Amino acid sequence: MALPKSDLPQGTLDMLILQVVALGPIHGYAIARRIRQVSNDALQILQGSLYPALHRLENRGLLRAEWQESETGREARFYRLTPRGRAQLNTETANWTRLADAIALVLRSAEGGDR
Amino acid sequence: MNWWRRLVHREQLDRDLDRELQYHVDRQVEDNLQAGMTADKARRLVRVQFGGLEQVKEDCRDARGTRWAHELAADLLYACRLLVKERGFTTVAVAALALGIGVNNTFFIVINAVCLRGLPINDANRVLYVATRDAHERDAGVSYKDFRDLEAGTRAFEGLAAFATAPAVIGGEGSAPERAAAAYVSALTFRLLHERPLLGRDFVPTDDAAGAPRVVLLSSALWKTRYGSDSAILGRRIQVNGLTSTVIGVMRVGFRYPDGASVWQPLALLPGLMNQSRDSRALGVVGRLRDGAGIAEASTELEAAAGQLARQSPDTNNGIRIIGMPINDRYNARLTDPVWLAFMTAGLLVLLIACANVANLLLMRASERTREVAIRFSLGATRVRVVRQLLAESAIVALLGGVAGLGVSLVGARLLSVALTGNAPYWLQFTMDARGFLALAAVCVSTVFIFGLAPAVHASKTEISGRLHQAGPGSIGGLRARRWTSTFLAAEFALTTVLLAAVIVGFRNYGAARATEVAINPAHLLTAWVSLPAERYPTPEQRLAFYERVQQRLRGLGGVSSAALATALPFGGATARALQVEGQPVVSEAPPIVSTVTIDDRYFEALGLPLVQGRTFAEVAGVAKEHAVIVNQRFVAMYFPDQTPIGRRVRLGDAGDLQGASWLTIIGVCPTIRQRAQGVDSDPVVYLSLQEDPPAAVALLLRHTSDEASLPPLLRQELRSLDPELPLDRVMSMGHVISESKLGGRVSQALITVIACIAICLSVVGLYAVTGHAVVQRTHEIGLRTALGAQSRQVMGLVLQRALTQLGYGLAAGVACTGAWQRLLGDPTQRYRLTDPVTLAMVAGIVISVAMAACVRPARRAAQLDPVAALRHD
Repeated sequence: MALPKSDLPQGTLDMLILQVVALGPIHGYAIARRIRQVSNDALQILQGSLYPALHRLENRGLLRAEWQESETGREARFYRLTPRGRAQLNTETANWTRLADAIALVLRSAEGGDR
Repeated sequence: MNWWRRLVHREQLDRDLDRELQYHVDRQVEDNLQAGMTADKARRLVRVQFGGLEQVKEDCRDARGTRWAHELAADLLYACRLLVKERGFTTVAVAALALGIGVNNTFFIVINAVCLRGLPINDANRVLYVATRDAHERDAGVSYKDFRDLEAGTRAFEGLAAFATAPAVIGGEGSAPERAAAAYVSALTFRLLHERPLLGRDFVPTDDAAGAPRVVLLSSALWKTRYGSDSAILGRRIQVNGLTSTVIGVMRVGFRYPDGASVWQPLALLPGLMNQSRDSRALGVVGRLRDGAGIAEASTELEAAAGQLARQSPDTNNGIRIIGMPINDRYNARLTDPVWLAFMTAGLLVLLIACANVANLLLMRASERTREVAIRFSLGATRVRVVRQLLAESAIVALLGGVAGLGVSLVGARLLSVALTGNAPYWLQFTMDARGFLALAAVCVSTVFIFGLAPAVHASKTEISGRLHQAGPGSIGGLRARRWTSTFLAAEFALTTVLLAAVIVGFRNYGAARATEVAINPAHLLTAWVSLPAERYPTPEQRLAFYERVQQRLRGLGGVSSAALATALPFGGATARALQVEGQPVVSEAPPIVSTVTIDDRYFEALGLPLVQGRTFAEVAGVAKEHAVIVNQRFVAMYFPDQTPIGRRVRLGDAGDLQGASWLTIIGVCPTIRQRAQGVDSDPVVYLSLQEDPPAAVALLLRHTSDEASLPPLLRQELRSLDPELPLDRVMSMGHVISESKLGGRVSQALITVIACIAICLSVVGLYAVTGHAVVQRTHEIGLRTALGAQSRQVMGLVLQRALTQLGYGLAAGVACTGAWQRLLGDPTQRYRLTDPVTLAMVAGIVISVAMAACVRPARRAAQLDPVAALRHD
């Protein structure tokens, strides 16, 4: 399986997608836009890696997709979280927070050590 | 959506994917337009953001995880088309594989039946066979008294059961008496084996008690053949060994334990059982482990019980160990026996030869397919993908070969069962089962890699540019390919050499065995068996009196010129006993073993073989008959070389207690008549007088002048007038006895001959194909040589030389392998060895002449090439 073609660490894209989809049924284009918005344009993901990631998550049973009418009136493929997806999001968020905390701690103590 | 549905609904998924991405693109373009871009720029930006729409789609398809399956399906489909197109190649490859796999699988079917499957007993690995070993590690059964003590003294078993086997005579109700294999079994036996009668009831403890009414269980086979599956069989009174017994049940079809029994009686009815001494260890004992108990626990208990018995009865039980083993260990042949190892190796060799053959076919084909492979590479196929595609072809060839091979092996197994009918234990069935199919599948899968991998890797290994250049078959089709081919060919001939050597040695040893035996004229010599049930002939005197009456009657029979009785027919085996020769050093640990046969006065007369020296029992005076013996010439050669044996004395007995036996005087020397059918050297045989120890069963030998068919009814009539309850058994001519005794040897020799023939055919076809292919590949070169003045003989030499080189390597490797075979699997008792120079010379002669014959046509074709046409050949 090819790596996500973005600057994000591996696995982060999946978590971001799950996070966005957790807010309610949403199609791919909107997901891309939302990620850009919430990260204040800091995270520009290539569409090229968004869709394979969506399909991978769907095939792993974390997302479910169905065709629905979008805001423009055209049919779009809407994704929503499955219960397994929600559970996965929770664990990943917890892991991520723990890791971030740990890194922050290390950075702080390293600063202290310099003095 | 699960994996399987993703695989099947691929088109639907692809359509959805297109729509989904199109939606994204359209929305992005719209947004870009709204942001004020020109249409052109809006579109270009989207394309940049996507980084290639097709690539994204490909990645999404990859995410389904079904790609490999689709590629595999495509590979297989393509392979099928190709194999259908190249029918000739497919047929030859599949046929070669079918033979290889077929032979191998036939052998596995046999090995599975003989060494692996075991008895048809429910949960057989919980059933232990209990036996004893004496101080010399000799195998024996359990005595009745020990059995009773074991029953009381062990906790690890649900119960123990004892049995003894003896042929029985079934008679009564006016029909002719019939001999049947019979067993006396203790009451628990069937329950421990998890067997219930098909009809009626099992034995209960009250049946198995002294003085209980006589009851009997019948096998389904006997019920069917003798009683026509009569549903009113239960309660019927039949004669068993001349005593009235009540039938209480019929066992299920196929149940014949122990020893193929047709009739079962309670153990308590075994004559003399209660008076048997503690060291009369003749009973078989089985026990089923109690839930939770293991073999180790049972063994410990048996060991402790043996120790206890040795303390209580040191006279009889000192040094006697009692052991328990899974019942199938007792009845299965050991896979590590050289015979079975040789068997498996032979099967494997044929398989390898077939694989080498197919590998060569594939290699030759690969050299003709360089252009196709090169195009695939240049279109971006990876090496793995190309190898996989070529392996898919091999897999289909292997699958077809496997299916055809299964057919071949089923026919082979059927032929073997027919050949061995009546000579194999009752439970042996040469059929496929789950284990058989598993082994077959494993063989098929491994053949794919054995014959397919090298050609596939080879085909995938050259640079594209080189490939596209050397497109034509006339170019140097790859020196490496040729090396592979030569190696495979040499390997084929090496393996063929080994098999051929085994066949030739087999024939030579057979011939050698024939040369040492005295020819008995089997014409007009009829044989039959009579056995006296212990129930009605318990004492030696009664038996002797009966035999004397038989002798009188037989001699009075019209058309009979001479009649004799013996405990064993020529080629019919013999009783082995330990020997001590008076005046020669005693080897008490391992005394020499000789065969003994008990005969009456007219034995040699009936066989038509006069004594070489001395006198027969009838003629001798001065020595009591029971102390006189006759020995054969082989015996004299072994123990009295260059001495006169007449008047010398010997002792016979069991290895442990020769000292107690009485001395026997040699009164005569007879020619060496074979008792064992196998082996080169005949055994030394000591002939004892029938009067010394009248046996319970004797063979009748009748030298007659009448025709074969008219005598048996007369014989039966005579016997019936002596005792109406005695059947005449195994009535057959001496010729039949001899050929039947050699059946096992003949079958195995036939087997190895067949597979050696297959091997040599495969190798020769392989050589022919490779040589023919080489000529085609070298057409250009040969044309050039001819044009420059090479004579046709030189051209032929060119072709033959290469074939001979391959052959030479093969023969050399083969000779080395025969050495290994002889060391690991050879039978050291045989006269000729595989490595014997004469044998090897014969093998080389056969291989070289057949191989040359195979090369002649390609060589001649090369010599007759028209140089002009050949030079134009591309």
